[in-house]
Amino acid sequence: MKKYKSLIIVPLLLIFVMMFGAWTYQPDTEERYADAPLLSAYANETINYTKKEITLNSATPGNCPCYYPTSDLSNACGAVAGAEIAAFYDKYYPNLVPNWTSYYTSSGKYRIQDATNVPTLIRQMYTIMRTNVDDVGVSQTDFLNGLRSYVNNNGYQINYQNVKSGSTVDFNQCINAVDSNKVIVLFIPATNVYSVVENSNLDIVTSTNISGGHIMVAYGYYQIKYYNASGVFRTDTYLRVAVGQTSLSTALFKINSTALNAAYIVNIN
Amino acid sequence: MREKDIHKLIEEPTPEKERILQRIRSQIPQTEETKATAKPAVKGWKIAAVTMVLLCVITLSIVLPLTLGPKDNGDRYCTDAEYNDEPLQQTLKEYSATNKLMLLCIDWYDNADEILTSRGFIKDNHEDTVYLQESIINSETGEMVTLSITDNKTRVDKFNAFDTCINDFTVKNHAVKWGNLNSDNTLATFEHNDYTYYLSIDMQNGQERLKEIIADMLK
Repeated sequence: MKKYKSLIIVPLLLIFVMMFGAWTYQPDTEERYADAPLLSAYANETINYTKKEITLNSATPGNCPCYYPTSDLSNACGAVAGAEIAAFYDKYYPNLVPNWTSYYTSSGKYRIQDATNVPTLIRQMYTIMRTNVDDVGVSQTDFLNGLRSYVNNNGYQINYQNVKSGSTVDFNQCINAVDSNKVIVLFIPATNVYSVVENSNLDIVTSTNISGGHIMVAYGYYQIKYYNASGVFRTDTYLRVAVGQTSLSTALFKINSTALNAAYIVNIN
Repeated sequence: MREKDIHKLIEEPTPEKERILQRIRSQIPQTEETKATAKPAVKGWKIAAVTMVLLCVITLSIVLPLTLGPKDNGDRYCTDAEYNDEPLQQTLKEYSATNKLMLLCIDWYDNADEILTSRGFIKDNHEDTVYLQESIINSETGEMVTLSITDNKTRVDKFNAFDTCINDFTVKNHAVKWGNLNSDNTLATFEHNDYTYYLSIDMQNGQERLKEIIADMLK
């Protein structure tokens, strides 16, 4: 019996060590931001009103570059958002995107995605952000570090100013950022974004569900107050965002009712 | 005793055994014997008949809706997960001529800062076109107009916002629906021959401008 004791004890010890190791192992729990199919709601919301007031409405000059992933890249939402940010600031910091001007000098509007320059920029971001290396897409850390490396490599500095407040954004800080020609990067879980089509005396709000973790760039703000016979019955406050998808280039991110993981003003100098 | 002798002893009747059995019977209370009315066996053919009828009902309930129901008229709805976008090396006008499509175009080609033409296609079938799209920036006015085209049997989630445009005007006998989007774009949509056209211009309340552009397209 004695000689069998070791044959029993050793495997038990091994099992204990494995179980303890599994219990204490802390895998990387950062949320990943990857390809997230957009699901359009079939039911739109109609808002009838007697009077409507757009109380806030502004965007950065020329709005924001609106890009989308090329078909050869998977889980590229981080790369697309990074490319949009770099192209946005290229207007103010020449050669942030070398050998290319991201906007039309005559109007100040940002260039539409072409077949060469924008895909090249997106692919650079894709690589420098380590897309699909540890897991699908990028983590928040991958994105922030990757964009930092890109900006530093092209001779500039970058810092990120946290503007998440509770479960949403600090709207006043976002207003200040937009008014100072800065964009805000949003890290969102699966959530909805909106479009408001204005008709005569009614608005139709269409929601589109982003079905997984996604990164977007906010470049404006928009607030609507709706009135009926009793006064203001509804106020909707949004950030204007570049969604970074083929099927939806821009949309409205409703603050106070839309889930948010993180938000940072991007400062480059 | 041998086994055979015991067996014989048990099985063979004897007067003694008869007397014992009779005494036992006399002690058993007499009860009315109820006649067991044996149910007649269900005829096999009845079971088969019922089964066949049930099978027919089930089969018809499946087949009839498929054969007599609404026919598939080829309409489809394409979502973001199903298609990709690729740039085209031709303008929409050139692509239309090459492929004999007779498409309407915005002919700003001689006054454009930039023209970007692309095609949406089904990911699993590159030859299957979902939409054509052309964005043109007018070098004189700075306006950016995006024209997208699908065939009348295809709807794409990308153009859902156009479905919510309920304002209307008419251009050359074409009914046009329009609306403002997010207070920074104006949308308009109309049908012509076998295609649906979607236009957006980067201004609010741009319906009059879109009316002019559509009139030019229909020349």
